[in-house]
Amino acid sequence: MSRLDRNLRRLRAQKHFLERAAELVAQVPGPVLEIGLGSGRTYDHLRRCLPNRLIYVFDTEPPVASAVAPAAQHFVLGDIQDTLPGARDWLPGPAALIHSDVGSHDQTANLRLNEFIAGWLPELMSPRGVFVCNTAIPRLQRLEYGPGDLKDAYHMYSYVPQTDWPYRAQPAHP
Amino acid sequence: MSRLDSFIRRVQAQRDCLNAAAHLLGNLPGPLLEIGLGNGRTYDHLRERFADREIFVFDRKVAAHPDCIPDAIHMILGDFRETLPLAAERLGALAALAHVDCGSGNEAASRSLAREITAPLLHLLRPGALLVSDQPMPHPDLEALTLPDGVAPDRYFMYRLGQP
Repeated sequence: MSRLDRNLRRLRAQKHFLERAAELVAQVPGPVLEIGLGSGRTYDHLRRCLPNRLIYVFDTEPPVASAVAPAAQHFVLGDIQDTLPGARDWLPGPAALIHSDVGSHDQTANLRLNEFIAGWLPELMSPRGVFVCNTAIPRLQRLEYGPGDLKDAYHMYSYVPQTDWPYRAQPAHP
Repeated sequence: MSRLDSFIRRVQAQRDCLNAAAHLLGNLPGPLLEIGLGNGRTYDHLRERFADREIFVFDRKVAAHPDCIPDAIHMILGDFRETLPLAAERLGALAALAHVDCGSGNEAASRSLAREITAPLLHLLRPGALLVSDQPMPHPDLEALTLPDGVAPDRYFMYRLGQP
């Protein structure tokens, strides 16, 4: 399977899981956090799937000119590991949906970032909120798999409050 | 339609057209030309589908995934308008298939670039060669081919170079 094939499968999986997550959080209150803007493809998709939600976008780089980007007050610039831990202080409420796709070629770095976010879900997410991301997260239980060849191409988890949440919140960089 | 939807359709069209070209090409001899390396995904697809063919890649710079970078002999760096007219000797033979992916965010600029490179590109192709492109490349020597099922007109383009 070529990189073109794999990319297409990944894009179709993104679409499937974001649409599915939007259905699942219909009754869950709170804004949406989009971690990684890039060209704004999935941001554009999310805002159409959830037209009445506030969407906050986090990225390490300011949006490029050609990107679909949110208004400046909904864009958070900086390293996610610096900006996410304090987000609860200014967010209007815990999030219903968090989507993480920083788009790095380095899957180990992606996993580390997604585990960092997973540690902050108890702080940042509404009960039954949904976390969609670009790597499997070993200690979380998969909410559901995609159909057919999308089965394992993208990943979705639900936040259910519990005393022994498997990931600890790591502090921001010193 | 969201940006994600339209991007999925574009990538799907690209893949379906390249796969259709692999069937249509048959045993027509000659190397392949990839005009625009980008992130290297379609180059990777071409070398998988056409494992026994040489592929020459043209781009201004190399910004592809490290696994998808051709060797120095097959990577021709520079502006297409300058490198294509001088490439015949480098290729050593007329090409059987060219894939053009030269679109940028600016539609007018992309179309104008495609127009400018059509004639020099056709000089590198063998009669009966296939041309797959993300831009329209109308030319009297090119016959437009029917697109694969599910690919909307104007999303991708396929041509065959006529016999002399």
